[in-house]
Amino acid sequence: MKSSTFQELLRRYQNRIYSYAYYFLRNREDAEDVTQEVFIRCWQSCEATEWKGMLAWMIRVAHNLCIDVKRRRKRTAIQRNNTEAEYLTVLRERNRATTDPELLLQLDQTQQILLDAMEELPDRTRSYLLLHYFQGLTYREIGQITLTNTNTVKVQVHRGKQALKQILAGSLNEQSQKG
Amino acid sequence: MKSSCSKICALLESFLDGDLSVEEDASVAAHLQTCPGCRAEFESERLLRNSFTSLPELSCPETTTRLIEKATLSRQTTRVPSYLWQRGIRQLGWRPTAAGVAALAAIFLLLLYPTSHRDPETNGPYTREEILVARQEAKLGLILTFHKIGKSEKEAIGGVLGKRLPQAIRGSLQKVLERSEGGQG
Repeated sequence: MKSSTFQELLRRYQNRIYSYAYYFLRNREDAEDVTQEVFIRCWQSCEATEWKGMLAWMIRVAHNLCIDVKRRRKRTAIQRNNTEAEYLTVLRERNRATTDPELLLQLDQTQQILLDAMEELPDRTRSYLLLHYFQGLTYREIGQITLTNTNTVKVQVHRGKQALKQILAGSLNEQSQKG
Repeated sequence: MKSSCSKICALLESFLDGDLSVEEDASVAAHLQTCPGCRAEFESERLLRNSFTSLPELSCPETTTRLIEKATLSRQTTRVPSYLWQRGIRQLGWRPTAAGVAALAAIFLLLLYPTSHRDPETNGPYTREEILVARQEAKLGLILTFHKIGKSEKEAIGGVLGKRLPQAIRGSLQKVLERSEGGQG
């Protein structure tokens, strides 16, 4: 790949890949590692100078890497004899502690609840939701990127949305009662 | 939930995207005005969507960008372009070979002149015979080095330029190489 093409790719997509990885993993260091890995792989494996399909390829790599990181984290938690609920609690606490304070200022209350609630969804569902709503991809595009049937993506997004709506409604009701 | 409500709920996403036909759009809008259950569903769908879409795009830290550039672009100068490999650049082994032979010759020469003892006849560290043998060996080493360099040079020219040189230049180059080989002998 030409260095000028790569520089342009990096300039244009680094924030997008980093944001996706960050919202998926809720950890700055992991998101940085994933972003680095995506672009290094892109440099090593993409000989083509065409832009077509490059973003989709990078999102696919980022998606797979994020799922790998999550799996590794979970395995480590299980090795420490934590239950699923304990793992989620620890994860949420850690995410709150590692969330960028500047980002927290930018997020409204609903978004903070939403990001916390996302942790409770299965990895793939969370990924599909982010790809659909945050990255603006269609179900078909998500299916192509993640090598999944379009209908499966649709069903997963629907289930994820229903779960999030319930959590959001519950949290917002709770907060309004407190207020 | 009525069957009409389930149909409307299925259309809410497209309604928010603005992907419905004029008739469908009007029917969903009319239904939402009259049905509180569907309106609540619509509101929660809109809230969720707005929360997601308004998530800020984060800036990738500069250190990460620099690390990526270091691992990719700054290594570019050491990478040999693939087309050169294809054209037989592998034959360009004369530089490392010559460097290796020169290094060996240097080590060899250094070993020839230790200052441990002096010979009374020559007033130096070695006897006359040892010096003669060393001279012969050094001469042989240098001849071998030049021979190797000449051979590698010839291979390199052939490997890189191949038949792309005009016949006249190739001929004169051949003559120069032959003359230099003859001179060595």
